[in-house]
Amino acid sequence: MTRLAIRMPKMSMTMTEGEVSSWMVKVGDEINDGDIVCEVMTDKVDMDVESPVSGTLVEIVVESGLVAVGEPIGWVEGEDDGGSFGDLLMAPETPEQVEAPVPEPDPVADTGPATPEPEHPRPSGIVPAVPRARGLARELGVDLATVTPSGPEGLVRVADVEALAPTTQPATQPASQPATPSAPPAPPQAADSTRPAAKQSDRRAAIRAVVARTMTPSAAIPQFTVWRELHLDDANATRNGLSWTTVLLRTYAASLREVPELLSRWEDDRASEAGPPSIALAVATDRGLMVPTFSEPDLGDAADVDAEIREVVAAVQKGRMDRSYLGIANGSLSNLGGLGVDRFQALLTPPQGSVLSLGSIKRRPVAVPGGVGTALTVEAGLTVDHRVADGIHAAQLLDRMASRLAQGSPQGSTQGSTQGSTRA
Amino acid sequence: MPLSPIETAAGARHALLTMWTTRRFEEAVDDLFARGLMHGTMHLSIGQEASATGACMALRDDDAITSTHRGHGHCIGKGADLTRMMAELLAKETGYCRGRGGSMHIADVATGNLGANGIVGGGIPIAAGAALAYQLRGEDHVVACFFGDGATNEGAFHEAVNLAAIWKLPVVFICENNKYGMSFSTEKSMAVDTIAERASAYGIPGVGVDGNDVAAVYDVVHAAVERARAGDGPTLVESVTYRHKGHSKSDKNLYRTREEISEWRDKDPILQFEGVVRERGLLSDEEIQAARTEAMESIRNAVRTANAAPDADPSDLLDAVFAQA
Amino acid sequence: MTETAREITYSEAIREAIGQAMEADESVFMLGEDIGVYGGAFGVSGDLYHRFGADRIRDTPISELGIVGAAVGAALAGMRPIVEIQFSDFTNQAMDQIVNQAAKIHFMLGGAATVPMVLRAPLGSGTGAAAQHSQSLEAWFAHVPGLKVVMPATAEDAKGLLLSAIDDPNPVIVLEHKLLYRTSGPVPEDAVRVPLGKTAVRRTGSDLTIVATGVMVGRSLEAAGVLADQGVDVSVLDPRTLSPLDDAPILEDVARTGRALLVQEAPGHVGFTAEIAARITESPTLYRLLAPIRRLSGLNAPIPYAPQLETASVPQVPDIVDAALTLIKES
Repeated sequence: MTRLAIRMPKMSMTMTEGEVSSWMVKVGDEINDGDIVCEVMTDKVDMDVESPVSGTLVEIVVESGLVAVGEPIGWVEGEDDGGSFGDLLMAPETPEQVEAPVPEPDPVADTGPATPEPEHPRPSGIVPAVPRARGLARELGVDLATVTPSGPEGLVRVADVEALAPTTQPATQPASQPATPSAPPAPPQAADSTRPAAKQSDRRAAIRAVVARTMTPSAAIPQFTVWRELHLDDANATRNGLSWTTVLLRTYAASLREVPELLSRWEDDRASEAGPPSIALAVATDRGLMVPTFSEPDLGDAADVDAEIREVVAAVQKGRMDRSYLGIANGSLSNLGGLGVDRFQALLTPPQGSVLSLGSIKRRPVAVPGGVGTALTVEAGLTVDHRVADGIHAAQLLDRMASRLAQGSPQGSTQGSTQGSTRA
Repeated sequence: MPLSPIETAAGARHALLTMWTTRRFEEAVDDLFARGLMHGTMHLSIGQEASATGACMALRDDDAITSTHRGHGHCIGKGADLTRMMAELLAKETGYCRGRGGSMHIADVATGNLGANGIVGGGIPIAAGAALAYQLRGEDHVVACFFGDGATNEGAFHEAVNLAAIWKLPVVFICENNKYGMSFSTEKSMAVDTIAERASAYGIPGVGVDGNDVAAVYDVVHAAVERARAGDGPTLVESVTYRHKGHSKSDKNLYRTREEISEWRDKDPILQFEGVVRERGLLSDEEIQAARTEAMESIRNAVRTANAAPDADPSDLLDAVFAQA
Repeated sequence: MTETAREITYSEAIREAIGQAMEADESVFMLGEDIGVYGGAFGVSGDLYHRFGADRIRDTPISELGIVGAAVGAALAGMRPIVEIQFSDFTNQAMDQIVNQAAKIHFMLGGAATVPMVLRAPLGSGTGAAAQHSQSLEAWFAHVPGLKVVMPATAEDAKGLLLSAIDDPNPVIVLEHKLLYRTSGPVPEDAVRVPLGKTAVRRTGSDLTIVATGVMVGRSLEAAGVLADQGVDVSVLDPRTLSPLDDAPILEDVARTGRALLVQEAPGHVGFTAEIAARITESPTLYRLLAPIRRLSGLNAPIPYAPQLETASVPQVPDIVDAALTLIKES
């Protein structure tokens, strides 16, 4: 005599569980294979459950309630006639497994793109262009042949056409050279498939490729930079050990709230709705430039934010960045002051609206009533995307920053804008 | 070679073993499905074993069959490999169809099993076509075409039987009438009393037989097969039987009474046959028990072995759509 | 090209293919309605009955489902049947055997069996046969995995593609446009096969690419002549095999000209040319388009009876010319 299970049967293709609703037999009853023992409600129908075994019902596991298909709902003591075939599937598998032949993985192609291209007869006169770029070129009266393509295999993208479009506003062009017409970025496959020996230069190449891919479009954006020497004595007196990065990051973020134009990003041919400040902090690592993004860093306790920034920067320098810092930024902060640079002009990272560059913080001679004195200063440069904002907005931003730093309390809460000048 | 179930001990043994193997196979499938260990749905032929076994015993090894969605018994009767059948149902790479066909498409073309079919009536024109091929090539194979009562109401039945009749194709049409399509009874679905009488509409003989009497089924099908082999054309055989289980796994059996089911269960064809062979002294009790045990063991082995095989592999699915020249 | 070629009709070319295939291989036979003594509803089988006899050129009752199923069974049992369906519209009576059986048996059986059959049927409008005898259903068949579909546009292809179809171990649907039966062209005398799955470039031009199927190939070539007189130089490509489709020559030509005009007789909505258009837009050829892809198709309506209504329902040569000129102008 053995214990044989009555299990919740699968009664339709989609059924995964059933609800036992009532039993027709009780413990102690003699039941035969085929007798109805209980009723079950399923996703499709109400069904009678037949016992697959004969014997004495010794246990009802579930009087009523949900049971998964295959689980026991009752136990019968009877003769095991071998009919519990499902148990064979639960038994540990026999050592000799029949192995289906595993196809050999294809050796990875060493060079060339993954899909073979049909041979295109080259001189056809048609410049390959993304359909929107072609349309835009037509609209703007730009000849595609004069456009410098930034896509692979000479593909003209929208930004490439925009770069040639005549503009009405005299925007200050960035002093840096525009990116050279692209060497196409190294195809990812090639980087992965090359021999392990040349890892270092491959990684460097990959890093440069990423930067090229990100910053080349920056050359097509009309951007200008506004400079201001910010005085830091007051802030220095009250910062209580907070790092300058923390102080200036929070001041930048708080000030951005007061000039919402700069919180827009240029996307889909228009300025997006201003969102809360989310600032990418440029951190130099031996993996290249990493940019953890801090959301609304001007909120919350300054000391907490300071600790957070230190922690994240340390982690990033070790090559680790938590997912929560991978958010989308609408501004950036870049600081080269530690290496003695006085001032520098940062390039915009599209599609952000602005980027704040900071030079070295040191004591410099300044004009004071009656003569010359010294002050702790930093040269701040704000580079702005002219499509989302104008010079006045850039000036306002730096002015707000100057005010806050002068107040000595660069916290997030604004005391109401004290800005007097009207917007042009 | 054709072997009668009741003339010799060997025949009796083969019949009994085949029927028990079919029964246990279906019970295994039932159990595995009920436990959620098998995918899809299953159409079980429990109760119809004598019909499938008796008919298949009347065929030569080089004859062919076409079968239905309720076709495990036909496949087993035609000598299918139990492990490959079970592996197919368990969606293994070693199944008859490498897991691509499932229960309704088991076939072993090399040994004359031209396939089960998921379309009611789908196999009937195919059977006629295979018979046409044999006739064109001057070969004396015969095709046994299995289908149910419901299929005789499909246009394909009408067209194929007519073609077979006008061309005197070497095919035997075996209708396993288990009295219900899915839920619609034969009383409601036809205006004639028997399916066998439909044969006269095509000018071919129609013969009824008790489908639960394996020896009777053998006799009738054997005669029809010989007629076809001699070039005299097709026969329509109506094998009256009953299925103990519902049409498929979602069948609540609302269309028939418990009394009806239980009445037929009491007339279990396998137990009936055991009585007959005992009475005639063809097999002893030990031999009968041995057949039962062997059947159970072979199914348990099939389940175990099939389960140990690797699962069906999706990586070459697209390659399998077209045959390469 | 090939050895000796002479001018025969599309219909004669098909008959020649069947005869040569049957002579070479005992397992090839044909079944269909009225193909015996009658010679076929469109005269294609002609004298084959007298040459090969009633067994191998086998007349059948009106039982499309039965005879297509019989072809499936015969193919499974080792023969190479050709089944002629009198009008492609009647394939609907046989859909279970075409779609559920023939197309799927090789796959469902895990590769253990093949169904090497050919189903030939006349398709298309222009004979006043009205809605139920004039359809172009090629997109339905091309959509079913497991079926190969060909639409020969020339007499040479009608013979060559049919020979390849008979050789193929898979079920092949051969759709012959009714209006092409009486057209002539050079056809090699020998049993020269034209491979399935190879697009034919009928004409190479520089301004625009026309892709056409069936009877529209000839109309497009005619239109090309008219366009040339107006200084517009067009390519004309003929896929010939709709499934599997050889799209590389199409993508290449469109990349070169920048303009694609896809012409079919069948109604445009969810038609075969939509597949060609999708392939173009999914490929880098997209970046070389000078204008949107244009489809020129039959009306989304059943084919009407009256002759002027019938011709107005499907693209004609002037329509192709107009569409091409408009496309050039718009880009």
